[in-house]
Amino acid sequence: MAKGSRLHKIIEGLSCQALFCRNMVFVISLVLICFVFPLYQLDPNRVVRGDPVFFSQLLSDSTILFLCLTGSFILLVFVIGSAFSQLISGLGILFLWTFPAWYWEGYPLASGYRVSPSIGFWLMHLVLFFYGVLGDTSKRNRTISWLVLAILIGIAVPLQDKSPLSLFIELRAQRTRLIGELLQHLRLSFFAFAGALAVSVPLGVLAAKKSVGKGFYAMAGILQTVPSLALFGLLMVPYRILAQQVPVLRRWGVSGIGAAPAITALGLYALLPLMTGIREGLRSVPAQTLEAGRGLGFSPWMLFLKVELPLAMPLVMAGTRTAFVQTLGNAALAPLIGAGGLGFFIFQGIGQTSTDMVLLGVFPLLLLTLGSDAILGALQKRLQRSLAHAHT
Amino acid sequence: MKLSKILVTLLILSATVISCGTQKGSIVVGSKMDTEGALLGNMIKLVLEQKGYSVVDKIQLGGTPIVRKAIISGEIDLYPEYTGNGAFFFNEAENPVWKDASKAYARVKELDLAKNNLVWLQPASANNTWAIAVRKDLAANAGLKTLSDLASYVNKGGGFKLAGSEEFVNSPAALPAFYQAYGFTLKPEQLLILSGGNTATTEKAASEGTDGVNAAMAYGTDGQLAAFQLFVLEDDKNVQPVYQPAPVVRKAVLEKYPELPKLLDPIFQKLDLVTLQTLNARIVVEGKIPEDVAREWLKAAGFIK
Amino acid sequence: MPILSFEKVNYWYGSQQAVKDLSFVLEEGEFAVIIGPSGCGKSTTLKMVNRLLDPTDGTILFMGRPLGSYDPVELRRSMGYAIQNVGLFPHWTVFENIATVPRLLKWPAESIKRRVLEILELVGLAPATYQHKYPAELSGGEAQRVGIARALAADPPLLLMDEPFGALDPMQRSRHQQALLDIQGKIKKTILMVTHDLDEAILLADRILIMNKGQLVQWDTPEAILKAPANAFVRKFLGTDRSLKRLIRRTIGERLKPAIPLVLGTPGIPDTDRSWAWVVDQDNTLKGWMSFEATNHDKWEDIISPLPTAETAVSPQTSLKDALSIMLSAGMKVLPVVDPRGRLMGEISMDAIEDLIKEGDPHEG
Repeated sequence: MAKGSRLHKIIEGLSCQALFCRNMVFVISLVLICFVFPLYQLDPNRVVRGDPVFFSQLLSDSTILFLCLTGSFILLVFVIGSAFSQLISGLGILFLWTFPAWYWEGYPLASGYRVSPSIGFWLMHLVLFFYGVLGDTSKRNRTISWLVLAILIGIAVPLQDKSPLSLFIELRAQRTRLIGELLQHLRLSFFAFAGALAVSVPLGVLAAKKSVGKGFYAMAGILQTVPSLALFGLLMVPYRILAQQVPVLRRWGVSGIGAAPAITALGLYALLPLMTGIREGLRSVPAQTLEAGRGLGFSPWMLFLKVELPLAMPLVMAGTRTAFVQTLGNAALAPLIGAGGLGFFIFQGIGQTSTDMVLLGVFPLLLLTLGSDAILGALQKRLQRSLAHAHT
Repeated sequence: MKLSKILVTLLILSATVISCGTQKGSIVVGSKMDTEGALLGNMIKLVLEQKGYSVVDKIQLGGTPIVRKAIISGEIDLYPEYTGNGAFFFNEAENPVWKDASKAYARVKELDLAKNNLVWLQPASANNTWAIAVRKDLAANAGLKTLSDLASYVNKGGGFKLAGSEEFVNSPAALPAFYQAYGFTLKPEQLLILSGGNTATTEKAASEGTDGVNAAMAYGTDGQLAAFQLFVLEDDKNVQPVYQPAPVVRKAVLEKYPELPKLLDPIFQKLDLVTLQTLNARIVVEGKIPEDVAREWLKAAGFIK
Repeated sequence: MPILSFEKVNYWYGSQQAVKDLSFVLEEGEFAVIIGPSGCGKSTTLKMVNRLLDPTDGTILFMGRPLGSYDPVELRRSMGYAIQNVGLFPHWTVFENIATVPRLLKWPAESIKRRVLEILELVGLAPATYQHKYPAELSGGEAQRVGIARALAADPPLLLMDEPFGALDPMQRSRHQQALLDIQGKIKKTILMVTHDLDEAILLADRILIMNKGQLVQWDTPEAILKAPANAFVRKFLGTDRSLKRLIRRTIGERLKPAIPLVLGTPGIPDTDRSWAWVVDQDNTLKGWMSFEATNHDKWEDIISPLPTAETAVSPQTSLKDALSIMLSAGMKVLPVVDPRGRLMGEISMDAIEDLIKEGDPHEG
């Protein structure tokens, strides 16, 4: 129909306008940031701040190069930006991180000098991030974007081993320790979570079914209100006494400091979300369904295993996800009682006023928490979809 | 039932994996979490390892209370501590003996052996005590070398702003003690109080001139002083307690390994103020890891190969 | 051998007695319905059969053996159980739901598959369309049918139903009741059903068990109860329209009388002592009716009066209660009875219905 196609064209036109506007806003904000704020800093050493590096300086130093770079980037944005916004975003971020290695290679940087990210650097990240997240792209395009980025990252990473970017310098120096603390962080979180799971499953089931369970549930709730740091500290005392009275435990490494109280504290914190997930999950199963099951001839155990538990799973998964991510985050406090973990870098960094060291602890931690949240979230969605027909 | 048994076994195994227990012929070396603690702890560890001990590394374990508890309860065997801290461990902050280096050392050695069965080995000569550091340009312009100089400068109305922690500004043993001894006070607008006793932050503030700050609370052996272009004013009236680092060993361990003093005393003898400042600077300013810095220096000084 | 027998069964909820001295026997192939006012103990009684509740004292025999001698879980697998809100397992398909008990009984996969498809047909759901659907995709009526299919899947000797049609709307309900009657006609199961709907009980039951305050009040066929209520409570419970209720189960076919119609094309007036007649064509298809008084016309077609509404041409399967209702609303004392093709089979008169009711309706006393 003539009318329909005209309307269609108008709508298409409008959305095209909207996309064009978005790209314009994106490019303009990037350019503004570049000119107003310094992108990097040339620091003489790890603690003293140095001279800022502005985009205008870079332009005047190598005009043609930067004009070409900027030009091609803008072109790229307008050509494929709407369809591949994640790719643009990723390219921008990748460029910011690899630029120092590329540009300052061969520059006679005096020893100790390093290039550290400045305000402009982080602001550009913000703009790039929003552009990528708010982009309305198809799943296919997104997959392509990620694939291309993965390849580019794979190529870029080995080239960074001499990068003067302060964060990379710090990473090179602390690499062994970082891996050690990362593993320790994972160890602490894993054992705390596993322990909490083992305890909360029977307690959660109790809480859902019998009144006795209510007591345990309330206790888990009270534990949550104790500030994490306080709980870590509080647990040191009983463990110390325990280790003194029972020497064989000391041989196994249980003591007032270190992993034992840390794991216990982390585990206690994880109890509440786990128990809530289990309790609410079990409660969400309709009573009629269970009665029908009983009446048809399910034994109590089979009824629980084949009907009740599967139907409870979505909420149980939600609780598990919260508990796991929370444990990872709380473990950042473990180094305060000698248990190690990624928090070590955060506290050392604060103590030495080295932002880079703090970030060395923060970035992996973010990766861990966001990553596990995403993975568990996907798992939860998958579970919910297969049970989408559930819960009439 | 099976599942819970497996879980329990796993938990026990993991506890073993996470932290090694002490075996015969080994020694557990700990230290505080700060830079200097890491440096000294690593020095001790590397020397002992060179001599064939199997060292369990608990360096950078935590703050002073944690490490102290650890050695008293026997979880670590050896760690570097400061002589001046004896005033707080044994609750004798008013005792003037802590202001004299040798008297302080003698006192803490006597008390710790009697009360906790801990033996203090020979201390280093460096004094890592609380100090006031000013910007080099201010020191040059106003001719400041000692705290007495500072007192007269301030009393004459010289421009001065000090960044310090809550504790430093308010504790009777710190700034108020300086006031009393040198006869000056600082008005509230001449102070910038940063919470948390972090000399790195205060020094950075002075170096960058944040908020008009031109002086900072500092520790004597801080590595970043030179980099921040700060000059430490001499405590000519000896107001502050003396904080000399020394290895502290459990008596039982010393009896097992009586050669420990022979190994560690020479090292600590060589650690004077400038040496410690330089080594700390390598860690904080250059970003090297404490173990590497310790190893390099020990090699250069001929203690290890 | 009776399938089920209750002997002086009592059930106490704490200090409250829910069932008192209940005794009855259910024979094989019987469709028994327990009915009574709310709180009379009917659901409790049903739950004691599959040991969801255990009687405080008394004996219940299933297939000749006391319930206590069975393992409760295995007992339930030999009884079908269908409840009001169905309780289908939402995470399983229709197929898997129906296959529940056969799977618990470890039937071979082939047999299970065959049986599920067979039972879906029986309850009137096309297997191809329904077997892979999930409960959330079903309407209330379809879900209820799946519930019944699930209850019957393992071909249990006894089927228990607890207000199965309670959650359906009236139209669905009558459809389901009819469907159940059809199924019962095909497979002749022993059924024990609880309902609060008297009309439903009268329609479906071979025998009705009326309970009040935990006690059995009357246990007899619907006809017998309606004709002779045991006491004032039953009379009140049945309602003053119980005579009409007796017409629920009776169909026109029982009191069908032959009719002598006027056949189009054949001359002359039919030999009847009435002043009118039904009019049919050569094929015996009903065309309407005609009064003999107006005969001075050339064409018969002009003076044939059509039936007031289509529903007045009733089928032999129509209940007498509906027939009476149609008579009253159409203002006719006689209705033509036709076959599915519209051919006249006979007629049913209000007098005939009246006679039936009069048969054995005792004086109110």
